[in-house]
Amino acid sequence: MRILLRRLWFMLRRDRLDAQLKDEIEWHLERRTEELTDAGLSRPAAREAALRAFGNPTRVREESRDFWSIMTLDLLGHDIRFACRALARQPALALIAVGSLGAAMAAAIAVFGLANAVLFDRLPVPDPDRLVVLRWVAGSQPPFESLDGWSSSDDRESTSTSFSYAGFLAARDEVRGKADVFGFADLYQVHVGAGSEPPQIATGQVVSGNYYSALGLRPVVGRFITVEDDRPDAEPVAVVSHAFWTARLGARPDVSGLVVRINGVPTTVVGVAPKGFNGTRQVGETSDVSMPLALRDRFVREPGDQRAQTDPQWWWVIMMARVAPGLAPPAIQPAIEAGVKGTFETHKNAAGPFRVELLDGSRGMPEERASLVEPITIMAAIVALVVLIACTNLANLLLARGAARDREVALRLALGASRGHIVRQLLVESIIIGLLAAAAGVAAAMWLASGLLPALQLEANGLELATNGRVLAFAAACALLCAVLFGVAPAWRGSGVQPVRGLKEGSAGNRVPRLRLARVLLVAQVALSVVILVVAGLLWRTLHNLEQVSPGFNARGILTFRVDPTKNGYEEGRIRTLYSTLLERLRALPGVERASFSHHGLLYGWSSRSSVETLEGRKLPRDIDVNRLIVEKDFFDTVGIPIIAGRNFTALEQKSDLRQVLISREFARTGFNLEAPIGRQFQLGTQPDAPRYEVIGVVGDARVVRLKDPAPPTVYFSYRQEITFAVVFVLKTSVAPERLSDAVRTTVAIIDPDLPVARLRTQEAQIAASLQRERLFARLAAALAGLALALACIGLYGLMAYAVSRRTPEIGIRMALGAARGRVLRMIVGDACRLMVIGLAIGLGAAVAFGRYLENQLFGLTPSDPSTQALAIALLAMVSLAAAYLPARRASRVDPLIALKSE
Amino acid sequence: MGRRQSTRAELLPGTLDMLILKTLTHGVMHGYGIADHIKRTSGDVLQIEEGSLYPALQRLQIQGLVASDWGHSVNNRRARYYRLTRAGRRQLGDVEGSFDRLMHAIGRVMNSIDPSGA
Repeated sequence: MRILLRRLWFMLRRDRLDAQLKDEIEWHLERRTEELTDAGLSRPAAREAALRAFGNPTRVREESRDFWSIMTLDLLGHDIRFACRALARQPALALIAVGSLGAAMAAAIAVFGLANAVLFDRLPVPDPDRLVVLRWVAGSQPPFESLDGWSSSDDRESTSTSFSYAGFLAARDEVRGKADVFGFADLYQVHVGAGSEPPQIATGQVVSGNYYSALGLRPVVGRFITVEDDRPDAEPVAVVSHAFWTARLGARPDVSGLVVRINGVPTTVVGVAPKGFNGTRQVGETSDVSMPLALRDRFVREPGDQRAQTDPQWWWVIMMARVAPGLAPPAIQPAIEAGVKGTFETHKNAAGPFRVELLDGSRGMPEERASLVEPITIMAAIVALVVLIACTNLANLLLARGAARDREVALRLALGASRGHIVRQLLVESIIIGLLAAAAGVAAAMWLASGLLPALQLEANGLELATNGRVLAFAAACALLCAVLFGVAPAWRGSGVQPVRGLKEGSAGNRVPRLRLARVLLVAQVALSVVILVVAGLLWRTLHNLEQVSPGFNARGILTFRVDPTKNGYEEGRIRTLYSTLLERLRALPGVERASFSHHGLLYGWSSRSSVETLEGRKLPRDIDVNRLIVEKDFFDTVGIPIIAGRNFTALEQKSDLRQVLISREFARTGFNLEAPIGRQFQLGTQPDAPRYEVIGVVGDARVVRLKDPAPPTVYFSYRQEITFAVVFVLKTSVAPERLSDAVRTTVAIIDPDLPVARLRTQEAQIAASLQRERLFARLAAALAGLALALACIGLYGLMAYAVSRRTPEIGIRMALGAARGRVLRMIVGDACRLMVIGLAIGLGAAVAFGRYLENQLFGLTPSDPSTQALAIALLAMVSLAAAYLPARRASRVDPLIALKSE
Repeated sequence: MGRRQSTRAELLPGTLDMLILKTLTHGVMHGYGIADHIKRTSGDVLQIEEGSLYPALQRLQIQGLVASDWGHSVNNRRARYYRLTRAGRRQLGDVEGSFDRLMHAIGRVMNSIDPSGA
């Protein structure tokens, strides 16, 4: 083996070796020539004599070269040819081997490809390691009022990556020279209209003037946003992404200077960002258009949301920094922290703990990625199990075949093959199977990975899955590792064959004990299969449970869509007129029974929350966290949420200090202990001038945000009394809802052709979409469990069939001595049962241990759900009994005469 | 594995490798030095084509019996120096033993007196 490696090493360097040899020979000849010249010969004569003594230098080099290349190749080539012939002799085995391992590896490569894109890929900018993300950590009472972005909090700490604009400016100025701090913020969906075309929905962000220069990027076309553009009084400019430029702007080279309307603001496109650069936001998020940070308030058109820039209580800017070369990131931390702290000194919570942390920024923003670690790890663990099962299974198949090949191996040993050669030969076979499986796996993996992508439920789809070098390297490593895993046992066994015994024993030798290793492997395989079956069962039943959950409203026959007129510059009065007109026209459509709207879609996963701190003028001992939903009065009727006490809104609510609300049963329970809540009052927040709310009715509980979460305590506000901007319409139809899609688009277009209709789908489709991750998890696990089951079947059948063929003479004798057929059958099946029971017991323990990591992904059952375990065991037992029965029946049909003769 | 041996007919097959290994027991040497040494110590009897040393040295390196490093020769020119590895030393011991037995056997046959001869 060492020699083989050295050969490979020589072969890889053969060009250099050849050059070295040439030098060496020339040196030799020169030295000889000098010596002969010293002895008195003329130089040409000396050279002639030296050459004569040396022989032909070219031939010498050629002969040496043989050792580096041709022989090595010959040797390997011989091994490979031999292995291919051996595999081709048993095409069924080769097919099962490559097929089963290929399927397992496809899953593994797909999950790796996903992990690679989501977790490992770094930003396509120069020197990404010098980038940091800034995050603050404060006590449970952070020093701000409103926050836009990711945040998390518990009883002790709250943390987020959003800062105020003032905080950003202060941090940037404090560390000038040591680090380039740049800021950006999400504008979510924006309406972009070019020329006379109606606006389309795109994603937008605002970035600081040094954003592109700090990242070290170069524009493909035109220029980037500069510090000059990033001033409140500057003319609006935008940089478009490469994808947006090619897909929406036709990749026109003269795009610089093009004026587009972004949320109604005429904006000049100045440049195009490089291909593959999707911004620095969460994984998978892209920004089609980027505008200057200082102009944020001009592009954000929601009423009441136009003070972000100046308000130090409003935290919305995400900060990253490029640390100057030669400086360690911690060196800039104190200055940034001091800068940010200086901007909220007057806030009532300013005295609380507050610190700024630096996180690795080489992959962009970390929060979404962090949330994906668990699902990806679970997927990876499941596929790792399946790969392990496939390897175990293959090891078993090869072991059984190896036993059948003892004669061949013995013959080759007798003919002078070294044991090393035999092991190498068997390993080459394994590696070929591994590589073939990897090739099949890579081909299937990318197709599979694009199917897995929705499982992550990324709103944006900027994630590109590519079969890049890292994925291929993983596939190759996987192939080699598997080859070693399943190839070593058979190879080690093969090398132990004694030529004399092997040749003498022939095919009918009685060597059952040799199967011990195979039996251990089979037990392991059954155990691993139990784990996968239980996991698949848990995930499948989770999906089933979720699909059975009653959301508390009626999703059938409902069509929904979202409009956001503020992004076309509508102000409040026009918005109200638009919604009234739309409702009127939609209700008049044939097939529409009722129509209404709410400010968040049902089961969109979006929510607005507030805390109720004062009830009936008394401060509550504990704030009640409530979900807010602003609705039109017909909303409850349209979606079938029952009003169980009090009354509905009328069309007459007025904006005033005392506003009317309906509350959910859950809030009636937590807030009022269900004691006559009608007519009672409460306030949201702590502002003394905050409006008071009077409960006029109680409605049934509904899971309005997520199916997985129990119905939250919810307060329903009247849209007549609250500010509304984007809304989601709901139409209750008497016909199949999707048939009304075109009519809805036409209706909206007649009223305002510039208003894009988003998320036009049935409520049931929306629910199905919200369960995508669970569905894909369940499907992936089920498919892999099916594979595991099939492999267990093949493994058990193979082992039993082989054992029976080995024991045929023994069985013949038993039957000749009067053993009944039933007894023989029981003997073989009983043998299989023993292995199975051990495997099942081990597997069950492992499944319980593994299940704990699954807890967060489950719904309506525990990881050690007994019925799921019972089902998994029953399924596996049934299938493996069937697999053992066939060879057992064959054994029981053995004709004692024939069996004994074959000895 | 067996390929054409690159020694001349004057040398018994396999003996060139043995001669090289033996020569290297005297220390680190370059190819030229090895050729010189063999020629000199055999009293110019063994006719080796000097060039045939180099393929043999490559083969011995692949087998791990000999290792090489680049160094500077006396007149400060780059030359490759060969040395015996531990495995090479062991191998030499083995072949020396069998070679001795072989020579001894051949000697006995050559020196024997025909028993039937009167």
